[in-house]
Amino acid sequence: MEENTTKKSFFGLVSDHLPQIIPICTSIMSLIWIFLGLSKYGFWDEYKGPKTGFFPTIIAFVMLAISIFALVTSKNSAKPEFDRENWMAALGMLSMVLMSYIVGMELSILIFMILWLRVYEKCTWKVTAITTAVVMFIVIGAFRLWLGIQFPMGLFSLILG
Amino acid sequence: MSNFSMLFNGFSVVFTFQNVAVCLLGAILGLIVGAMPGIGSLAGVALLLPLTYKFNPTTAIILLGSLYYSNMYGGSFSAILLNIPGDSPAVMTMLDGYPMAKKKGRPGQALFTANMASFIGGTIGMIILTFLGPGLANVGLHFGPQDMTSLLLVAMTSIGWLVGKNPTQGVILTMIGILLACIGMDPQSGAPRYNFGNMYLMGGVSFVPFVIGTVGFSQVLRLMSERNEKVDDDKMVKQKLTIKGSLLSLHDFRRLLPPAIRSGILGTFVGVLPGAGATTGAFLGYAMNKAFKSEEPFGTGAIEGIASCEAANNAAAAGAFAPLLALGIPGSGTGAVLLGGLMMWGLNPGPLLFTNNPDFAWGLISSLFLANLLTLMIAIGVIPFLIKILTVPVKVIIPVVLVICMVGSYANTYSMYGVVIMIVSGVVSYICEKSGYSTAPMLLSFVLAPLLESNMRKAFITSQGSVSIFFTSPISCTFMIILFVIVLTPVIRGILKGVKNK
Repeated sequence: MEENTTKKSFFGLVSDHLPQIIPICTSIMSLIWIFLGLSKYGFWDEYKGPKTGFFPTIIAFVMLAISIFALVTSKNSAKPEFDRENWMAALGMLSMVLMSYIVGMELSILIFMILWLRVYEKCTWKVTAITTAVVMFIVIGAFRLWLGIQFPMGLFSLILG
Repeated sequence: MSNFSMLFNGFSVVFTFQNVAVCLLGAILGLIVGAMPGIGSLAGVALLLPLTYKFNPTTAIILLGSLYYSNMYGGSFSAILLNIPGDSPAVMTMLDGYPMAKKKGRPGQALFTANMASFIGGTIGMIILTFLGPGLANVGLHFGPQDMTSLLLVAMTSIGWLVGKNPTQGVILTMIGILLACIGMDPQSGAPRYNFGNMYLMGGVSFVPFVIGTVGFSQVLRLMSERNEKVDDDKMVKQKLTIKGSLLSLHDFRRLLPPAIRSGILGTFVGVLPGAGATTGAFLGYAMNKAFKSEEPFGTGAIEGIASCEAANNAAAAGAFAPLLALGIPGSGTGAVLLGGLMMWGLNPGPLLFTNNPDFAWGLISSLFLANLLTLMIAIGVIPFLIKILTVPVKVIIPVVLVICMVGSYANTYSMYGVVIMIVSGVVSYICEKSGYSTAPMLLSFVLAPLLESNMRKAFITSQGSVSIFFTSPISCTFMIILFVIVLTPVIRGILKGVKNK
């Protein structure tokens, strides 16, 4: 319970300060680009003209200036609200990726589709079967057979040799 | 050779079995994607991008172009029958489409009006594009690197200015797009830069996974909270739809024609402007036609109302191809994805495209004519099945799109690196969108950054480091003035607002 409250307050804090966090992040990004541009890649050569870091450094300077302006004027910006439900899709995607390393991508997609539709969304078996069949047709028919994409086999490849 | 004979040559390129088949496929998919609320043409084109690897560039762009184009038709379906716009331009269609369908009990005629107006507007847009495209390309041939640099800067900043609520946020995302595009190799010297010692980043941020994440995956994250929303049963038009019962009378057709023609012309020119796009076209078309005489007042289910915005948004979609092909500058996020696709297939849209790849350029324009006709036929043909298509629940669409996002990203890079790029860009884009940042400028600048860099460096080499080169050429100077106005307006507005609040 306590953990939940802490988590909620952390996400709430991030969400409340997002109008400030975004320009701070973009300012840091521009500073990194400027630093590397000037110190590592070079800006201007007297004879050859612009060096590798020339263009990114100029753009990063512009971004830094605008980010500072955005930060200063962000006081009254609307605070976005995030619903935990929205992150379920990201969780679903991550679990599909992790499963790919174990059972291979095609099987992980099959398992994901069934679990998502039948267990999470509580769809009927008919809807689950039809939708899964359509998806597997796209993955195997279009991507593997037609485009010739070799999907990772995961640990199965070790078992199958 | 005249433009029309080049166009006929283009038709000879298009009329192969494969090209006609993909055009038909693109038209069907575009209608479905457009009709389903929440997906949109941008996500549709992005998700379909990996499936085009097997095709030659002409066939691939015909598929994507027809999908993009027919999407404009599909958006109106749910607006008319469910009072939910399928895409943003359809918001205007809803104003008259839904009252005509529900209150007046004429859903079939409302759909038929939208389809006919889309066809008329689109045809006008394509005829103008036939002349405007090569004309713009001729103008573009006289552009030096300094002119191209200023034009690109205007295009990039104006889309940030026009899309989204806050221009400052638009400019920030434009800059992020450029900086991300700088990761990988210096396009001129080939030296690695900003790869942070990562082997995968040596090749840069892959375009396809980046686009799929920014558009497709972030869209799914957003849709998650809307997936249990059911279409209001009271709002749904339940009348049985038949093709015969949907036909327009001669009187209705006479009402439809003048606003469709006016909007078609206006919409095309709106589409040419960077960032303006189909939504602005639909809005302006509706506003302009409101000033003209109509049999019924606008907003009460007037045929003129539906015709004015539908013709304008389709014409704008056609018009947007003129700067894309002739100058290599897309007018919208979808245009940026199409441009990225063209570059991926080794084509460089710009003033020389019509000279170096006439088959491709004219083939694409011809395919738009074909897609327009095919979409009209399909759009009329699907009228009896529309309610079933429109009520496919979002919760079923979500896992399908998630799988396509993963598989498409993997297929592009043959490694999980693509999937990682997709997930990261999707999550970041979702957070940005929730905070009011529109991601379309980021896509546009990501695609245009290499062109901007090479032109900017050439200009500075010519001037030996002096910025005066951007102000001595009249073309460049004009664009620079526009650029300053675009950049400084939000700054001045912000300062004035701050002073007022104090």
